[in-house]
Amino acid sequence: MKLLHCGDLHLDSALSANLNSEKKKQRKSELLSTFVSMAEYAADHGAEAILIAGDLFDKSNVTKRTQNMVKETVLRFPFVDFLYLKGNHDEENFLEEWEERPENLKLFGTEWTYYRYGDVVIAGAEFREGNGNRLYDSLVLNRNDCNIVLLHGQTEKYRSADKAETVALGALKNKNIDYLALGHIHSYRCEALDGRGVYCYCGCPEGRGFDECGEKGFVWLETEAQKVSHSFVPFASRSVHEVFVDISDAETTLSVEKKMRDALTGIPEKDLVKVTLTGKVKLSAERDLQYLTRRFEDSYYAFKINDREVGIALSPEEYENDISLRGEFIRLVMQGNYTEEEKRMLLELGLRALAGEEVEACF
Amino acid sequence: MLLKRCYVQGFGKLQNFTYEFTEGLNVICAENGWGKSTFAAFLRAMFYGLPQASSRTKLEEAERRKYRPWNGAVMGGFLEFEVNGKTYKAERTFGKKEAEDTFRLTDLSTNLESADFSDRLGEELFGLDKEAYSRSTYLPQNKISDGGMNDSIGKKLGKMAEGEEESGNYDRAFLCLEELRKKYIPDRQKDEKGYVAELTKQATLLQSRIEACRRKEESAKPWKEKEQEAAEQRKQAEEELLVCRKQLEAAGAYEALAAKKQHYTELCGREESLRVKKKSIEELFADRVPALSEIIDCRRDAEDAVALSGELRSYRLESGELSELSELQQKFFDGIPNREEIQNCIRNEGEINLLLSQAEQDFRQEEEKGNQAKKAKRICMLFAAVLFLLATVTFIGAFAGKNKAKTEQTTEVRETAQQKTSSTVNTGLLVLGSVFALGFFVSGGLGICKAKGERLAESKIHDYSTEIEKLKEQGEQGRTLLLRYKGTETEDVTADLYRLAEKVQRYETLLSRKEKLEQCTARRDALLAGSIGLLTEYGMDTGDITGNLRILENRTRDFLRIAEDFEEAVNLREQFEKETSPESLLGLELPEVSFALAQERERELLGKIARAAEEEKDCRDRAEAFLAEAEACTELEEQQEEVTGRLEAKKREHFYITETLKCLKNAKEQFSSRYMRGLTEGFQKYISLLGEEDFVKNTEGNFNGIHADIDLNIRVTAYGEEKELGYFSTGMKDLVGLCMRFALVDALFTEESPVLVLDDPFVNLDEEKMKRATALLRETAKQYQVLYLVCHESRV
Repeated sequence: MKLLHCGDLHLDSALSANLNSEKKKQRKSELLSTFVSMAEYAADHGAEAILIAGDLFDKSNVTKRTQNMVKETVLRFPFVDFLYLKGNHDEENFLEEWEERPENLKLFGTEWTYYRYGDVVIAGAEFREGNGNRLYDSLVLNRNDCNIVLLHGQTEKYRSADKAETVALGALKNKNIDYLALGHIHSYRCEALDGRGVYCYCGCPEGRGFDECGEKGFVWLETEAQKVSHSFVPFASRSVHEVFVDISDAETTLSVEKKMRDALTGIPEKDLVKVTLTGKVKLSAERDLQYLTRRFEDSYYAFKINDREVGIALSPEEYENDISLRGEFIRLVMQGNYTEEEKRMLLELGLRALAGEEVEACF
Repeated sequence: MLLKRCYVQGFGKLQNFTYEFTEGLNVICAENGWGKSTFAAFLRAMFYGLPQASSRTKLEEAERRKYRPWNGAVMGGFLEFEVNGKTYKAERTFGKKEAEDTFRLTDLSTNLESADFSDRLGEELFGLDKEAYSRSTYLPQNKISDGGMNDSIGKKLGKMAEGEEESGNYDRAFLCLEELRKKYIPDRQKDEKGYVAELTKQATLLQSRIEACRRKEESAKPWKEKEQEAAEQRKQAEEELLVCRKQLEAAGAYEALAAKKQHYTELCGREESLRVKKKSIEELFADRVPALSEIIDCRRDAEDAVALSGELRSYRLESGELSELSELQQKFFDGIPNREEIQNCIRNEGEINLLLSQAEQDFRQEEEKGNQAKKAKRICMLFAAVLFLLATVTFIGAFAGKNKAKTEQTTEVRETAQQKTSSTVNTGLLVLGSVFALGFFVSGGLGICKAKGERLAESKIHDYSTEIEKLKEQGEQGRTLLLRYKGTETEDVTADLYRLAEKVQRYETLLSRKEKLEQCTARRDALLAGSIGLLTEYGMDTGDITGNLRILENRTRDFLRIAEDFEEAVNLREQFEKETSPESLLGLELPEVSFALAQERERELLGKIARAAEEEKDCRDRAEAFLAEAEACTELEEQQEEVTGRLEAKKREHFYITETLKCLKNAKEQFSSRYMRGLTEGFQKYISLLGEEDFVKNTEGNFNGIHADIDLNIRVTAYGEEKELGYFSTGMKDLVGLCMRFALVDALFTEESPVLVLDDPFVNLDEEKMKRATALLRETAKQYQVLYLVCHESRV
């Protein structure tokens, strides 16, 4: 049996990533399109079911367009079951209220719901109102079946009564689980659960912002003789990259640009890119972020530069014996309870001001 | 620290130059161009090295280029000094680039290379960078009071570190940052201006719009609930409708079967009814049913016969007519007179009578004319005679009167008027006699004419009498004819002839009618023979043949129609029986609900469903309208996120600015507090050492002395009034500057004493002040090693 494990699509969600209004709309359409494409992939590759491990939608008020798209996709593939488990973002939504809900749309509740496909059993339950502890105890799986469990939450080693949406891995060990299909974390991660099974976060299929970098897609599952094999399938229409560029020895804007260009080599133009500048630069070093942004922003779908990680390359020898207001200022800043970024900014501001330079250029 | 010895291998113009230092004051008195400033620069370079400078740097600032030996020798040398009880030898060579420089420190007690200090020797020894060192320990010519003593000590210190051209940087920097800070959060926040306030306002506005959107979402909920309720009602009604439709179906099936059964019964009943009718009519027709065409033919013949009866009636002879015919037959037994002959007689008789009467009339007229002419002749003759007489008399009278007059004229001339009147009467008589004569001729003419007419009339009367006699002879033919057929009844022959002619015509007419009557009767009998036969065959009365034939025809038509209907009824029944077995119609059970009731219920439920669906749609539309408005929430959230991000960035930037300002302010305060106390104390000390009367407190209280305030502004109080140093002479300023510089050295060099290099700084001093300066220098040399470079003996 073949299955597709996906989750955290967050359809209709607000987007960040420095996108303008038009691109935000386009990106939202792409999120929907990816959902449809995943269903097509599942159908084309003979999957019997698509496991949606929560957060299909971002909020309860789902737009009409998204509703129609999801409904039509479910109806378009009647031979593929859509096993949809609601996550913390999925409140009561239109799929539950859907009149004449198609047979291939299968939902879960706050108690365990089991769907059997031959010797493959897919169990799932939604975390609500602290039902976690009760759920763990009530999960019963036959050791002779191939058992897949669907949950949405943050993994913890042990049970926690306080936290909702907590997947207590300890409580799920030795429960005859072969594959624990999880949602909630937006990056793919797969690790051993116990001697028998693994737990796997499929991640989100598309990165929505620069906090969702890396390869995105879904997990493809194949069961045979009570064994589950799994593989991650990168599927995002666009990838989100965060590229760290060390500009320690770059003292001019052009030298920073060259370093950035070298670091960005090979990244497709369709992708979203965030460059985080790192390293420690001399106080005299300059870089024009507006210029740099302009140089790269047309080359990628979205582009952003973050230089908050850049520190100041300033050894104590350089300022400790500077008997001047400047030296006193540097000493004061460097000894102050500031982060690296704060120190850099304060020094840049102060020294530019003392040098009579334009201070607003620091921002 | 104490300098011991130095060797200049090559530095500017100094070549292989060695100088042994002594403790205290070292004086080098040499002419201009000897290399005193170069020597001072060499000493500084030994401690701090030489900075890298590009080719674009001014020569004054590019020491590495400026002091490169002109002869191309190695640039460098060494310096021996004592510090912390140890004597070291610091050797340096300078390449074209900083990387080519060498540094070596030797501990002279062991002659081994020492790592006690690195190539940053000056900084490690004095705790000051090169700039601070040079600006505090090096006093160049005319530059002691450089920038003027009007500036605060703080500014001097700033200047010392930053360079002359950057004087006042702190104030400018602080102002610049302060202005920038105000762009973020102005001091007057009531204006709600500034980046932070504006973005906060935007964020608040967006938040309120988002909340409004969410309220829309909330507003949609009751409508969604109502929609669900309506949907439930609709579903329930639909379920009931399903049950109802089943009932309707059952009732419908029952009704359909019942209808079929009814239909079948009707078919059978109709068939039977037609069968009976057919049979009853068949009995009327005995052996055979007549053909409609036969009946129709007979009926047409009968109708033709009826049409003949009119003709018959017209030919029929009444009894009077029959006797008249009989009489006429007898009268004309011998034959019928020729009509033409009668007509000729009548015509002749008429013409003769006409001519006769005409002749008689003409005769009478001519006779009358003759009589009248006779009478007229007589009258005319009489009248002519009278007129003749009258005329004769008149003429006589006239002639008589004329002769008388002629006589009187001659005699009685005096009576002229009377004579004239008598003449006029005579003339009148003549005229009158003429008129009577004319009348006489006319009347005589007329009498002659009338006599001629009388004669003509008498001639015509004669002619007419002859003709009348002739015509009376011709009228005897008609009488002869009348006598032959005994027709003479009256004297009027013409009338009798006419009557004979009428009788002949009457006889012929009656005879013709009798013959036609006989022919017509024979034709009618022939036409009625078939009809009578047919009616007789079916035992019907032959009195009203047409009516009975019509009855027979109708009867036959009825029979044929019924036979046809019967056949159709049989076919329909058989067809029905083929389609539906009559057995299946047996044993029908009544449904639970009648069809009508079920229909009524269905209508109710359909109405209920429609109402619920309408309400459901209405609620859904309303909810969707709210939700559509709420859809803007995502976009607003994105905007809010963006604005919040910008706000956070601006707040962060504001934080950086305020912290920078704070640090700058603190730096200034710390800088001041760290150096200024020692500086002010040292300044007072050196001012005292100077022994300048102007700066010493006057016992009479006229002078309060010189002092630096908290901002290190130097002020002189004289005669109860504070004055700036600018009021004093250049020499005085130089002395104060010297005191300040020494005080500065005291303040800055807390760990290790530097070597003070004075490059002929006292050129502006008069003799008295020079003494005080040299005294101060000697006193200072007790504390510091001083290298005093001077170009004139007078200032040694």
